[in-house]
Parts: sequence; C-alpha cells; structure tokens
Amino acid sequence: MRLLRRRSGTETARADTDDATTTPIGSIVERRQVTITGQVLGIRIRPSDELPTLVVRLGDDTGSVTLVWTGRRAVGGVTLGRRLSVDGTPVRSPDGVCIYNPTYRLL
Amino acid sequence: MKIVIAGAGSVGRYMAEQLHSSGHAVRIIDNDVEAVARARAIDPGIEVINGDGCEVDTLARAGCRDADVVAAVTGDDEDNLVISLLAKQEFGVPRVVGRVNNPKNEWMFTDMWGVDVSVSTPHLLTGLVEEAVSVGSFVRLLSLEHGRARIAEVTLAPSSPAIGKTLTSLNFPRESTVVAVLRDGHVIVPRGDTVVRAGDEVMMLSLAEAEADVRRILIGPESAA
Repeated sequence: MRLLRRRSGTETARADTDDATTTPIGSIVERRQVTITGQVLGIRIRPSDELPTLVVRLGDDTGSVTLVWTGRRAVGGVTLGRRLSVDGTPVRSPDGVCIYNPTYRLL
Repeated sequence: MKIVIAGAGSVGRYMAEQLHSSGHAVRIIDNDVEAVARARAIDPGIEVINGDGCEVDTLARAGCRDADVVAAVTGDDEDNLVISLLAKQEFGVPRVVGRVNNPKNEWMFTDMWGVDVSVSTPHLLTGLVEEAVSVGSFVRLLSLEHGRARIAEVTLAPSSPAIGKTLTSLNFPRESTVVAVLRDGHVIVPRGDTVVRAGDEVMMLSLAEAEADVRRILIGPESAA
C-alpha cells in the first residue's frame, strides 16, 4: 500500500482559497493536467464488494466533469452545492471524461 | 505506437525487442542497474530509463503523457498495480496492460486499479496444459472484458451428444458462437451445416451466462470440467 502513503499528502483537504490558474471546465483537454473550480452538482456512491467508489459531478458556467474517488464512500467537506478547486488529469473512461482521485481544495 | 514498458526483466526485455522490431517506439523502465544494462544491450533504438516506475516523475520521464500503451510487467504484483493506476489516473493512458504474477492477486487487476487488460501467466499455462491433456472437457483459453466473455475450447469425446449433428441443430444459446472447428490439423470455418465429429476441437466464444448451456450441448449433462 505504498501508493496510499504516497498520495496521502496530496489528498488532504486544505481550506485556503483561490489560485490564479484555473481552467474553465468546458475547455479541459484529455490527458492534460488542469486545475478547475466549480460547484458540486451531484454525488453518487457506487457500492462494491471490491472497492466502493464516490462519483461527484463538478460544474461551472462552461460545462461539467466527473470526479471519481476510488475506495471512498465520502470525502470530507465534499457536499452538494459546495465549491471546490480540484487538480488532476482528465481521463477518458467508459463513463465519459473523468478525473480520478484529484487533489482538492474546499472553497 | 508509443509504448512504455515498466520492468526490464526477461518478460519486459523480450516485449521491448519484439515491439521495437515491429516498428513501435518503445521505452523501458527499471530501477535495477543490471537490468538497465541488459536492456540497453538489446538495441540502441530502445530508450531505457533508469528509475522507479512507481514514481510519477519516472513515468513522466518515460513519456507516459503521450503513450498509447503502458505495460506493467515487473515481477511484483504490487508494483504492477501502482504503475497501472498511475498510468491511468495521472496520465490517462488509453490502454494499460498489467501482468499478474500470483494468481491470487488477479481479482485486483481491473479498472479499479487502472488495468484495461490483465495477463496471468499461471492461468494461461494452466489453460494450455489442460488443453493438451483433456478430451471432453471445457478449457477456457482467453478472458475478454474481465471475464464477461470467454474463448474456450472443447475436444469432443466419442460420448459427446453433439457428435454427428450440424451446428445449427445444436441450438447454441444466442450469447455464444462457434469460432472455429479444428480437425486433423485443419481449421474449418464453421457454417450452420458443418457436422461435428469425435476428436474435433470446437472453439467457442461465449458470454459467462451462456457457458453452462454450451457445456451441456458439447459435453453432456453429467460431465465434470
């Protein structure tokens, strides 16, 4: 479980706000790392015997994108209507473009 | 295609050599100095990266950002899972192939860990051995879409209820089809009026839910696999 240790530093939510370089969600490009800011439009939990998954829809004026947290049923502070800034790589998946286990900041 | 191979053991080096000679751009990663030296000796056209494939930086250095395929083929399942997950999660690599060393770990090699295709050498070998020794049993050769569909083979025993019948009259379930019939070293492309004989090797493509019916049709009700 080296991975979890490695990522634990980046997964911690930070309460500080804004940084300058956020990209409109409508203009994100697959496989190019971005920072985006938006509002939580929907939260879904995919229960699974193997690995539960938290699926969050994040939107701004230009579009929306799916955030996926694997191995989680909830992420602290990520609630409906909450504004988040997230950092990650948009990836093509069977469910459309999504960002897996992004670094996030509660705004 | 741009291919990144993590693990320069005998499997990784062999893959690198084959893929390079078929004209692909191959990069291979290993953190062991000796393995790196051996990989460098294969061909100057293969780029060798000395580093830990479980680190994002190393994967970036190896060109994962625009790679078409990443193959995690180290001898360590934990490393292969970490590499697969990073390749998918951090770089969005379209096709991630993961090598399973210990069959007990195979259940983890799914999209949950970023793996698109898993290859389990022990399972493959078991299948091939079974295929060689068994008449009248159902041998799974290849799993597709994480086991939702399989290619399997049955060598028809003289006691098979299918002997002497046409494929149409065998009424295979809709979720299955005969892919080929191998007879005396020849490959017969199956048609509805193909009649099967004892000793024929029948290759089937079937979804998991249809396997029991296919088994019953080709082997009979009382058989054990």
